[in-house]
Amino acid sequence: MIKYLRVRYKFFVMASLGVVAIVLMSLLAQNISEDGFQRVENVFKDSKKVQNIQQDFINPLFRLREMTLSLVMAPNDDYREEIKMDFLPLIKKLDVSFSNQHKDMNFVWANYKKLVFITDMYIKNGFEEGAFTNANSVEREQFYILISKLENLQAKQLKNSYNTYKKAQINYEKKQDLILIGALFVIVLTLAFGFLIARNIVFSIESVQRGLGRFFDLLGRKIDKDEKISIELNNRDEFGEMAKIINTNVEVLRKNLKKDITLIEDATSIVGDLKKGDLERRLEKSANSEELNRLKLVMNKMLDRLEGRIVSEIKERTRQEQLLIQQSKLASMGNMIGNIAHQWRQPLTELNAVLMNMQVKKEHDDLSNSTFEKSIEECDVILAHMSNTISDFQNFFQPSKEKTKFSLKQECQNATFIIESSLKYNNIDLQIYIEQESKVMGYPREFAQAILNILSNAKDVLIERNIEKPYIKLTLQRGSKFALIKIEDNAKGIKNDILDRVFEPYFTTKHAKQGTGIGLYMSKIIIEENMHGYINASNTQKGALFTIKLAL
Amino acid sequence: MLGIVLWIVKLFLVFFTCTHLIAQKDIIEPIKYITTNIQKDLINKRVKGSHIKVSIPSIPYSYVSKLINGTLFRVSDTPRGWEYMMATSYIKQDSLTYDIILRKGVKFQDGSDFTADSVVENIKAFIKQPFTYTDIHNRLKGIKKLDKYRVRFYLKQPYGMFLNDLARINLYTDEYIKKFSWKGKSTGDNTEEAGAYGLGPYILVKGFATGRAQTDVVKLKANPYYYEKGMPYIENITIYTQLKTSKAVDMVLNYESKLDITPIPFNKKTEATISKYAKLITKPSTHNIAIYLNMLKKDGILKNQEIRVALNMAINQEKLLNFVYKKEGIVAPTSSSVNYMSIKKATQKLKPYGKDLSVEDKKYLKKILNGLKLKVLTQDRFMFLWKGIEYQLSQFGVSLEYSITSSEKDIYHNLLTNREFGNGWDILTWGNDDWYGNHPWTTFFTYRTSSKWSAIDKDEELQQYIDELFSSTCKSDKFDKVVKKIVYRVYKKAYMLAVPSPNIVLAVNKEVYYVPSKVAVMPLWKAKISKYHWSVRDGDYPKERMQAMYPKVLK
Repeated sequence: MIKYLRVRYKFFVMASLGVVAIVLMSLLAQNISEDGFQRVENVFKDSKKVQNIQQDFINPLFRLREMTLSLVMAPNDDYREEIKMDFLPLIKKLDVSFSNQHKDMNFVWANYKKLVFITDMYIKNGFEEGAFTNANSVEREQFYILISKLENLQAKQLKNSYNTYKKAQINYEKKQDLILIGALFVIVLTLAFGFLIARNIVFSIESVQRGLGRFFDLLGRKIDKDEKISIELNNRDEFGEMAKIINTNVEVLRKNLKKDITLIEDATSIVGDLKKGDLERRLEKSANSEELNRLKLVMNKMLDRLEGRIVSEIKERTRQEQLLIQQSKLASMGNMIGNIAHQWRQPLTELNAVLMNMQVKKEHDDLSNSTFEKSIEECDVILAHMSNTISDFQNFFQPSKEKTKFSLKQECQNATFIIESSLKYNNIDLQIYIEQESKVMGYPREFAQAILNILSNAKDVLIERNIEKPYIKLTLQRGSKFALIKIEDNAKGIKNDILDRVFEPYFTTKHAKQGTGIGLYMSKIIIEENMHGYINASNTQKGALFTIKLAL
Repeated sequence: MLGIVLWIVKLFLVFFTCTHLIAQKDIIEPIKYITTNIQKDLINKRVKGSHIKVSIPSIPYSYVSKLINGTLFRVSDTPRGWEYMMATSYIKQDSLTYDIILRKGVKFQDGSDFTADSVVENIKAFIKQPFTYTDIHNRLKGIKKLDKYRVRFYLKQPYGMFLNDLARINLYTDEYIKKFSWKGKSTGDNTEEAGAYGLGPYILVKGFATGRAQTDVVKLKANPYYYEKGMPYIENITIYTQLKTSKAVDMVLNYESKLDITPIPFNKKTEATISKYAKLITKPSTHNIAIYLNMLKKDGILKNQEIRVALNMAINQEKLLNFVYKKEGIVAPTSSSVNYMSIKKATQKLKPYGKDLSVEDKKYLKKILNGLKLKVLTQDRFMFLWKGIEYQLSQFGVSLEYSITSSEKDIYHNLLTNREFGNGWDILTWGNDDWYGNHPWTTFFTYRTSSKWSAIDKDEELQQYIDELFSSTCKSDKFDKVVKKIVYRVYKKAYMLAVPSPNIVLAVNKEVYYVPSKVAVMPLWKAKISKYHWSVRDGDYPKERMQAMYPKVLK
């Protein structure tokens, strides 16, 4: 029933119920007020009667009594005449008042009046004792009987007044109950109807809200685009109409959205391919949205351009890398040759000494065969050493073929072996602190190359800056998860403004003939990309500190 | 059918009666006063055993004397103050000679004949030792028998009060004369012994009363030889001489047979009116309440005339009359009752002291009287009056110290010895009933400085006026003038404290018919009782006779 009503009619019905309730309550309140007024008026009337008895009967009677006693007690007739001026008018007034009373009351009053007149008569006759006796015995007794009757009447009237009041109170309580029941009824009815209407409206709103929510979820891709999202509302009110319109529009929007989503998905897929390096795919399906279609065109155009640029960039990179590799090879070779030269300096000197000794002995003919042979043997040993050095250097620079678990200690020693002679030659103190053996997965020769690059850089700076008592300290520490390699020197450190750039390729502070700017870059590539470790450069108080962190 | 009708009628009657009774319960009937209609029930002859009891608190000796004794003239409330008793007429031969004709056929109480000889013998005995409270002792010269029923009196000098004086010279039997004779006492008519010694309606059979001394109870019995035919009607009379007032009131009002006649305080009138057994009788009298101011007391403050006048001025007699006397009296400028014709004339232009006082007067009185302390001697029966006086005097700072007695003889003792000893009281109250009989001498005798009855020290001028009074015949111009002089003199000097003259207020048994005299005589020989009187009745007193009775207000 309610759902067939339009919302405005529902509100109208609710408002009407409120108005009816207010009107009903007002009418009841008015009725109570009028009734209460009537009752109060009745109470007032009854009270007035009580007061009238006091004013019209009791008070005048007491006055009459007082007058009578004054007459009795008056010392002379002058006083009495004065008193009697009010005496008879008062009796007449009381006669009038009592004439409206019940005959019994009137009868008692008449007798009291008679007794008063007897008192008066006695006074007139000079029989003052009789007047006194009469006034203080029978007249007094009759007076109080009369007063008692009047008081009873007063009490009766008071009781009436009380009863009227009580009735008014009961009626008021009844009316109060009626109002309460009426109010409750109206409230319940209003609430029930209001609840139904409100529930219907809220249900409609919630249905629309839910439908719209699902629609927005669809838009937000929170639900599957194929999931049914229509608003289930059969109301014939505005909400029902709204739901129908929304449902129609949602369906249209969903279709369009589907197209757009397809386009976006294609775009996303293409971007994914792009990541993989596939630049061949292009957006083909069109979307509903113009913007998306424009985006499609822009994206296809951008892909075309990107493909072209990537190809050219790859070519350029390849060329540069080759150049870099070449440079690196050359630098390595230079270094290797330098190092070999340093390695060979000692044996060559020894060889020269042996040869000179042989020459001297020969000149002095002191060269015996045994000496000669011994010298030849010594030369062979020296040459074999030199040949080993070449092999070692060759092996050192031979790239590792595959990842393997290797000893950091060993590779550090390999690296220091290469540069050791050069350092000695330059009086650079190499301090090696290896606390514990640590093994990691990776490429051992590349790792040794990276260490060698850092040591070589340190050596160059120490020489360049002509550092007094130069030293290089290599520390290998092992933690629970990581191994830590620290290489520090006392070459006064790296300038802060270039500290962040030391690992960039082609960045060097050396003279062009000395540095290529490739060493530290290669070390960073080897540690971080090949071995997934971490390399950092910082300054200590005395010089630079390179820290390498590798997972165990 | 008839039965049903009767049943309905009965039902109606029951309903009517019930309704009527319910209505009636709220109706109070007025008090019904019975009138003195006992005349029809009175016993007009003396009945054996008839008996009344009487309380006489004031001068009982005088009242008793007049009941038991016979005199030539009898004190009465007639204008001349006397009536014939043993005398039947007199002839004034000249101002010094009086012939008295005697009643014939009269016998003394002992049965002996009364003749001129009896009179001569009694007068001769009197002359030997007369009373002195009049001037007869100075003026009576002698007596002579003219015949069996006529005697002649000789006076030394004219004496206007001669016949009045003869009304108090009792005539006794030979036996009494021989036994007691006259003794010249201040109070005292000779009633010293019970016995049939007189000529009065009653014989003293028990007790005595002389004023200075008396028994509490005096009993009288009817004189069978009494000369008035049929009288007295009541055979026995018991007289109480010293009953306390409150007791007397209780006896007469609340009991049937304890007391038949008694004076009551004015404030007991109402009780008397509604008493079951008594009725109220009031009558104007020539009595007065003599309030002496002691001028004989050594260093007495009341020697000061200014204070005496101030005390009198401080008394508002109107208020006393209204509130204390309950209107049973009359305002009197002096202590003499204005019910005396001569006093009434004399005081016509005399304003009572305390009347219409101005503010200045009151200031003056306060100045004079403030702090005054006075000793008052009084009989208890006058306390009602003294409370009123005390209240009025207290307004001016006077305080009173009372000595109260129920016996008159205490009063007499303090009064009659005062001149000799100058007693300590400042004020003395005495119920001065008109013992002299419608003559102002009753009060004037207290002004006589030569008398024990006076508390005045000296006043020659007043004594001269009193001498003039003795020579003046009652009801004459001369008499009125001298009375006026005395009154004005006394007023000026304020010798007494003037209060209203009281009426006679008696409670009398409802079954006793008694008409009081306005002078100090109780004519009980004329009193009668009804057949319902307790002394003659068999059975209980009828309830219907217990109703309240209209007071008898006598003129």
